[in-house]
Amino acid sequence: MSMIIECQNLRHAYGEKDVLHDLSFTLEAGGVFGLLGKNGAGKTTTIDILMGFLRPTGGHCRVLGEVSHVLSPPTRRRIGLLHERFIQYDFMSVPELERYYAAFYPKWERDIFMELVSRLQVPPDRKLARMSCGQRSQVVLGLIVAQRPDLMILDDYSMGLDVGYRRLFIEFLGDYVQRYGTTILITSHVVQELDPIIDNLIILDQGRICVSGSKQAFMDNFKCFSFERSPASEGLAAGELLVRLEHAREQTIVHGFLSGERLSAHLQDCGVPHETLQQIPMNFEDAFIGLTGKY
Amino acid sequence: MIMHPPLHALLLKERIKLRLGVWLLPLLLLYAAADSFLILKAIQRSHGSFGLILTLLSKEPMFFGGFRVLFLAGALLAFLQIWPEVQGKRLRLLFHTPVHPEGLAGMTLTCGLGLMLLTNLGAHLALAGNLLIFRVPVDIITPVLLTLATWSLLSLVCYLGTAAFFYHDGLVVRGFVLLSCFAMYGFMGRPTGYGLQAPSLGSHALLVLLFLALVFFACLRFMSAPDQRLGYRWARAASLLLFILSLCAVLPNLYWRMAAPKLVRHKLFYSPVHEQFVISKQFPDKVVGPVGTDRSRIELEDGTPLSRRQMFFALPTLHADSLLKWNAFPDTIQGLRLTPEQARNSWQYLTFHPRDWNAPEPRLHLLLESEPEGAKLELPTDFFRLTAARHELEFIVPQAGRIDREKSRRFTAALREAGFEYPVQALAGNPDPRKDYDEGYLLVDARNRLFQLKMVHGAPVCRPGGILEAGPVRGLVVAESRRREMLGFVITEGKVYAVMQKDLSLHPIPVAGFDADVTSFTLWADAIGKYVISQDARDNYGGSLGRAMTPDFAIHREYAQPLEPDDIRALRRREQFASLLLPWRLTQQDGTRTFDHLRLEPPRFVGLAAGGNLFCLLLLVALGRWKRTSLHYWECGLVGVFGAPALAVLWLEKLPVSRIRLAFGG
Repeated sequence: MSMIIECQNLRHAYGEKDVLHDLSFTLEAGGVFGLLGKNGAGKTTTIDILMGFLRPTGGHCRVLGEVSHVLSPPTRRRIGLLHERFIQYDFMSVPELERYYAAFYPKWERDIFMELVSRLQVPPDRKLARMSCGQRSQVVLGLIVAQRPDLMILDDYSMGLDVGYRRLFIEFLGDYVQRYGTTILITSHVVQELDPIIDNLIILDQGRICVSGSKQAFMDNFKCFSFERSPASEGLAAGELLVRLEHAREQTIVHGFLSGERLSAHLQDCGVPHETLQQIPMNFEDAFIGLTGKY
Repeated sequence: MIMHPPLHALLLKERIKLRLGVWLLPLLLLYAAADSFLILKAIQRSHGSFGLILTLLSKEPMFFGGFRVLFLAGALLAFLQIWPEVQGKRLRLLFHTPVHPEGLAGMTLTCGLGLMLLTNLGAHLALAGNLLIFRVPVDIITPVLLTLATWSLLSLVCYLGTAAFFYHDGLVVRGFVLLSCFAMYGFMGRPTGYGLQAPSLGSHALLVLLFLALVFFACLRFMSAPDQRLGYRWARAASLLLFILSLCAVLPNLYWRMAAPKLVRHKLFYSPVHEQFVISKQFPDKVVGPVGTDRSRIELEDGTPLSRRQMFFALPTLHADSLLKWNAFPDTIQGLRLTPEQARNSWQYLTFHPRDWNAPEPRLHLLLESEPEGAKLELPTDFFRLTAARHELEFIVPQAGRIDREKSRRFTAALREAGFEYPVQALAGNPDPRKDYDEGYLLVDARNRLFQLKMVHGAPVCRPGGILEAGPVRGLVVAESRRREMLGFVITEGKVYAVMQKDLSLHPIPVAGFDADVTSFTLWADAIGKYVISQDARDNYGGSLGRAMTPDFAIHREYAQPLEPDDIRALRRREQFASLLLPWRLTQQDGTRTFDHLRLEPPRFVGLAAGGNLFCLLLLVALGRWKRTSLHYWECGLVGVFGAPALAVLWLEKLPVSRIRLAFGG
């Protein structure tokens, strides 16, 4: 299967501050790939490097077979980008935007664009600057999907969208991928909504990869347990086994890549009482927070 | 014709951006055209049609100053085009567009420059139209439009400079953009006369091209690897060169304004009483006036000091009035008996400078009536000019806006009948009615023979004169004086001739080492004799040379007055420092020409300049090592040639790694 994106030992720094540390990942053609992380994890910097807006201070990055910081116009024509808070030419109206963008993309699908934009119910001559944030977001999403790109990068697609449109768009994306075989790299702060759609993911934390691989494998292997809180449990430290520890009023909650038996053995070794040990079921968002922390 | 879709889309974007704001351009033009029209109308109303043309000829007013709105038009257009592109991080949107980035910026600039060219064309047509409405001859329209052409180029600089300013987010480069625009305004924005900047138009156009490169440099640097693009590298090199040239224009002026030494000024006079030259030395900070002479010193050639009163006695014809007041006017001067009245009316004093003949030839001429009905001379009601081929005289009646064919034919034929051979090589007159009498014009024909043309009772009167040696005539001067001895002067490459009023014969005036391009001189003539004081207008260290002559131009005394040794030392030190620090100077002013002449002046002390540049080069290399930045050979070459200004530009633009430069990177 062909590689859409290949990154090896990617490093980047702003002045003295390192923001990406030896990032390595690949994206295969087809499917939806989630690039997740808390604020400041390095997602936007990674996308900037992928799109050639930044040159990494170390490592290599190739997109659609070309070095990322010198992408040619034909390659850019195959990439749909939603980035940086939906920057757009807000002095244009919807029909003007459609006319403008259609000229650059030979595979432009006007019907797709109109399908997404027709729900706006705004006068056709209204400029983007005079629309609400959510309305602008809908227009921009329509422009991206109408391009029928081979690679679609959606950075925080959900900003400004109401819950109904977000649900609609996710369903739309699922059909879109099925129909056109587009590869999608998506980020969002509403992590739970990505659950139905993403196949693979990378989770970043402080510029490093915490998790990389299929979402299902992550959900299967990353577990949450609780047991009674005690002075001994308060002495437990996070590490490779116990990724995150949290002490509630009467419970200690543990997240990690381990089974219940393995945890029990570890607690036994540490002399931590755990008579009320039980696994807590998690959804995708719970797992994400469990891995990266609440703050 | 089906346009390439992306091209069409980019044009569409420009149209959308400009659809409202673009109408400001014709409004600004309308204002400028109306303003110039009303000014011309006001002059015509006050002085009539003839007075309007005379005003334009003699005073060259900037009646079309309203067209400076072209600068505003350029800046406004750039703002309308570029501001929407650089809001927030919208430039990323631009560079993600699947078109080569040079094409993206190029399309914006093509649209903008096209609009600017149209606007400027409209400005020229409007101004020409205004002048034609008032029947101003094309001889004046052409130089006026040439002046406007320089402003057109400056408007392009404003457009491109504004575009570069908005494209770039760095304070340093923005500062340099402003500096460059300021330097260009100094060259192109302050005309001193009509059409004087025409010889520099080509150089100005080259500078505009550098601004074009600057826009690409400012725009393309936002790409993640701009230095991998050949276009960007060239644009950067051209932009750095522009910044360096701007510093070479601004800094030397600032330096000399601060560092110019106070020099002792010398004035030379020849005293027939002492038969020596009298030198008046004015020291800096002197008190000027009849009372304060404590900062000046007057002495003879042999060093004998003179008081102010003694100087008056030494120069009786110049100070006849004062001597008369003191009842001390001598009975005879060098054996010649003169009354104070005769002395007062017997002298003639003229100054000549290369600027006088390195200047545009007068576009239109006025032939006064030499024998007016009344006692005073009056201005005529028409102008005359030479035809394009210089084979005829043409008299123009401004009120009617037509050529007086009959008068033109008559005067042209009169010259021919007197032996004049066309085309006219040179032509000069003194058409000022505020003189005692008029002797018309002096002309030089194709065989270098001198002729005089007057109008007496409306009819042409021609007189042949002496024959000049072969070679071009650089200047011709008519100067009627009460002495009625010398009517005028002819300037050739290496000689000056006096034209004798009696018979138009030519007598060479012994100006030492005369070179029409560099020698300036003053001539004093009175009943006792003549003397000439000359100097090299380009030599800061040269002094003055005086030559006293007998009435028939024979030299009988010569004296050279050098600069004060302290002044020479002070000048030399400052020039040495300037050569070290600011080896090159981009300047337009030339003391020996009226025309503006843009050029890069080399250092006066080449060895010092080379040493200074080498030091700057070593400093650059050291800085590069310290900041761990690689340097290109051409960057080192720039510093090696231009020295400190180039070092400053490179240091500020390239070497610091600042948060400001990285801000766009997120």
